[in-house]
Amino acid sequence: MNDDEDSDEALVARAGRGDRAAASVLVARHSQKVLALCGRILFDRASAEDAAQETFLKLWENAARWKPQGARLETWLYRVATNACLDRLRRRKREAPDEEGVDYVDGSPTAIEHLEEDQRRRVIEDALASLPERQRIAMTLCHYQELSNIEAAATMEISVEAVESLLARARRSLKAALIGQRDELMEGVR
Amino acid sequence: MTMFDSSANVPPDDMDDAKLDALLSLSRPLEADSAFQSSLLHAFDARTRRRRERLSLTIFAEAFGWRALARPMAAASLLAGICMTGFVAGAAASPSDGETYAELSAAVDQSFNFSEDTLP
Repeated sequence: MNDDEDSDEALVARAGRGDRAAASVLVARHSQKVLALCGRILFDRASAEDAAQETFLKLWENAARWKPQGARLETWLYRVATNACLDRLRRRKREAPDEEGVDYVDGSPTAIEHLEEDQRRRVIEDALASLPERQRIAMTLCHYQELSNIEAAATMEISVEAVESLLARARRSLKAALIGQRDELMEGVR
Repeated sequence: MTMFDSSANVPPDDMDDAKLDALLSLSRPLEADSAFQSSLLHAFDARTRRRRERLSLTIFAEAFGWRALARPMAAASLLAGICMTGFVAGAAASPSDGETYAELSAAVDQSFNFSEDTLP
């Protein structure tokens, strides 16, 4: 079996013994997803990279004594990354308490007549950024990272019912934010 | 229509879940480029180096049965203890100023053959 086919657990154990090749496979396998998660929570590349760095640093520090304890490595990484992002969001709020997320874009149908692809993406990301942080995290984990509700609950350390409630509220808020521009936005997905 | 018929509450231009999912797919994730991946591996290398440095101390300590020495604070305490003992021993054994002056004076006199001239 070559490195790419090894299980995460086997790779973590090898990385814990200082095996760089195993660490390299883990980075190749998980860095994209962890950075994407951090990016969708923080909406800032520098902060997202910083949070992802912190996540992998914790992995290297714990690799020698890492035990699965029923959780997949991916779930563990997401949990650490989510907490790293929450720390940064709290710090951001302390430093600039008046900035409460990103403003909603004008949702009226006439406000944006011809949305180019980048603009469409921006509208979606602004709507996601305007969600309360826990709703945004639940939405990101379930929709973008494709975790089940059970895995998202384990990642966020809350009940499955709480995740379902957060998702329902997030979807409602997103629909309300995007309904006005639905037709223009749908041109981008046809 | 029953009181549980949800269609009564749905506005005519509501967005269904499939459309929302389609719209959400417009958002692109951040790309983990090679520079970012290298920085993660760089952190791994630094961590491994630190661990190896600590490990060599652990092996040394275990070879002598000094397990407590493997802990960083214990090693630092031992080093501080040795320095303190050396300082105290050095201070206790140092010759008095008078003895030092006499030794120096004798050495200088021998080297230059100095003698005290006295006036008649």
